[in-house]
Amino acid sequence: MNNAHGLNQDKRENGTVSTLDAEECIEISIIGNPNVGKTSLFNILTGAKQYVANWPGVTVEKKIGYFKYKDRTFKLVDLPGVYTLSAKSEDEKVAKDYVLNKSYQIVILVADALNLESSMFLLLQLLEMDANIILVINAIDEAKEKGRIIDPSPITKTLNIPVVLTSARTGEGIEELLEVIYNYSKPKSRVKTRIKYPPNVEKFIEFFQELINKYPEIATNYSGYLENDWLPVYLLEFGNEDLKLPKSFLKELEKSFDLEKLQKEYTKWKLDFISYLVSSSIINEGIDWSLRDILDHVLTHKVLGILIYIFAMFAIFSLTFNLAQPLSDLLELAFTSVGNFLSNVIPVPWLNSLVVDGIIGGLGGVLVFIPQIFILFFFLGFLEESGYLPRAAFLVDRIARNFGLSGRSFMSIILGFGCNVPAIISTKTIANKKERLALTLSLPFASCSARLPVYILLIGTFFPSNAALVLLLIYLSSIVLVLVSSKFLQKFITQSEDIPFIIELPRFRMPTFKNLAIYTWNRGKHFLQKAGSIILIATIIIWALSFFPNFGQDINNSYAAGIGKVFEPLTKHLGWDWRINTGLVFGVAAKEVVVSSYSTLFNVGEDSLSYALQNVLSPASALALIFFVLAYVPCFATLATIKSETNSWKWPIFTLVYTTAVAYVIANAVYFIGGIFL
Amino acid sequence: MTRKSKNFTLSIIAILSLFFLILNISLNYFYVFAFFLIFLTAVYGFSSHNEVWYHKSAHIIVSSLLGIFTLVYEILGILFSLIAAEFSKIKPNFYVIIFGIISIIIFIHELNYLKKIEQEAKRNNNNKH
Repeated sequence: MNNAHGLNQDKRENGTVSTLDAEECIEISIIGNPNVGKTSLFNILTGAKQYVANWPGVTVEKKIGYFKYKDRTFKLVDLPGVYTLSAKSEDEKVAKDYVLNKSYQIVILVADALNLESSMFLLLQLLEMDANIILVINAIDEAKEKGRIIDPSPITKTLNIPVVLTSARTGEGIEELLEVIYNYSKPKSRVKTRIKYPPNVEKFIEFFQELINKYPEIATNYSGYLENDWLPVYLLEFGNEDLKLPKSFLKELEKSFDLEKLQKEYTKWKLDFISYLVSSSIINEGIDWSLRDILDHVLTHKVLGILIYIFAMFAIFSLTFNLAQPLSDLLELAFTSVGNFLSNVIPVPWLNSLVVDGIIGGLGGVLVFIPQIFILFFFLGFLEESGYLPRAAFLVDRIARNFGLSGRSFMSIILGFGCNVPAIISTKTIANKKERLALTLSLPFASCSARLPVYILLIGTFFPSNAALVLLLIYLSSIVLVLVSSKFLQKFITQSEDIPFIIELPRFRMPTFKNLAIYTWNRGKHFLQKAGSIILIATIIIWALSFFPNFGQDINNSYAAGIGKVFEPLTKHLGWDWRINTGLVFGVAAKEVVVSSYSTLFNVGEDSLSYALQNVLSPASALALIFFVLAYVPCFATLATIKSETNSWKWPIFTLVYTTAVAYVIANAVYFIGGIFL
Repeated sequence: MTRKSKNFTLSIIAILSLFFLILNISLNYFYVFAFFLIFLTAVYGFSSHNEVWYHKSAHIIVSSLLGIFTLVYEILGILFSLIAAEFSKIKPNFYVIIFGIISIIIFIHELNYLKKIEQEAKRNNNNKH
């Protein structure tokens, strides 16, 4: 255990910890490549519980936390993963803007002990920016397991920066890191390093700095870049695309230097320098193989890889159905018993109906699916935490490209299986604006967990012997729908730039039960929170609409029936009566409400609901209903996220109309095709 | 372990998985898919892949892991039925259990072989130094 004390950010901002002034609080930023353990270190140091996963691109916005060590308080800023400071996507821009702003005193650069080379580019860029760097080489335990010994002294001596070896997994090196942070926070302890470049590059830098004096606007506009020699070397490394230096200035440079040749010389020097640093710091004792390489050899195979992914999803759905059913039956028994008990206890008829038919019947009808939802999240968490999901993204990259998307988009689709809101936020990692907008508008087709109770109810009722297979079909259709919709929408979006998909496959890790439990709870509690809020409110409203105006005497003439009957001309041919329609209307608030409204409108428990549904729907109409629920109107939270991500009301309104139209077309197609086979 | 013995192990996995696939056709589609995938993974292992020295080992390891995974799936199903006291629903699939046990033996055997190679390489490295 380390002696750092995490401070709750909210408490601080609310003024509870108000005695610390800005001078006392030392700002530190954590930066590094994606998936090297930055957020894990952030959590250890601050005591926070930010979401950590075994795939790149989890952190898309900067996160702030505080911790105290000895007599000092530190503000820690966790930045999204970047490879270089030449930003392309939104999350990379967040990191770059923060670094350029320079409000921090120290930068902790987190590097992966098993992939030190890829962090060195960022390290050199930060040095060129004159940042005060602490290099943290993380996952040192995994490096040792692989027979790789890291000797930090060559880096320390060459670059004059402190290097700490840590393992965020075991806690190794954290005490030392805290001590280094504490000592390094005293300005006297820092030694400035100036990188010595090849002579031609040095001449270029000197000329560049002199030329700037003739262009005062450059000094004003590029102040963030002007520390040390960063501006000239940035121009050499990334060109003028980002910088947009004046053309006259560039012409003067080109008169004296062959920039293309100089760029090659600079790149070669950088690669050689990094290679020297890394090779002198690593001692390899093992042979070049690991279980990861072995698994990846087969799991990333273009045919077997995709089949294994489908198998994994099939297994998860089978487990969701088979393992959860007995537990679900127990819950159903409990709700029925409570309902029967309260039915005999409450004497007032309308109150009896509200509590028993409305709340217990409606809410209980949804809550019986708790085991399914938690089990699904548990196994999806296993795939995510073990590092398998990025491999699936890598595999589908080629397929996704045919639809104008990249494998990175696939990660968002998978996230969307949990909830569409974080999935849409995760599109920040997509640099191509056209791809991002098309995906944002298509992600509501990713089948989120809120739809699961509807699927389970209908699949369990109409296709019990092939339940997992039908669920697999729905999820695969959901992926296809997102892909096809993105392709379709991209035809109408004009911005375009092709950016290759680069994903670093994370190491396979056996997820711990604790991590999986946290993952499952964090996802699953959202369902419970909804059950206690929006689902409960919607259930009561539906009960009221079905009870009035004739006090439960004739539900066919209730307000609820009136709402459903409005849509009957559009749905009658699909075999959906007013009750099905009313459920769908209220499902706009939250998809789980579809199930709770059916429980209330059919006025039966879950078991009898299955029988009631069998009397109303044919298997083909049920399948059409499943696909309609898969595609129609996203929930309010998703629409609000689309608004905030696109900064326009135009897109959520478009999504509302577009998804409903697509859902209706699909439901009709499924009904007519299903009618032939079922 | 020679190339021949690797091919022998792959053949065992391929033949057994095909056999159990046929036996499961009337029982469970999920297991049919699982055994088909194991069969396919083993068959791909026969192809020559000279750039990767552990090609055959990789296919043996992954196909045996799939076998172990199917066994875990079966055991979980039995355990959850026990938890819910639904004893009548417990019908163990012995084909899956037998194949799972064979898979565990093959997996351990192959992993030991790879570890042995690693130890030998370490010894050779030390001798060079």
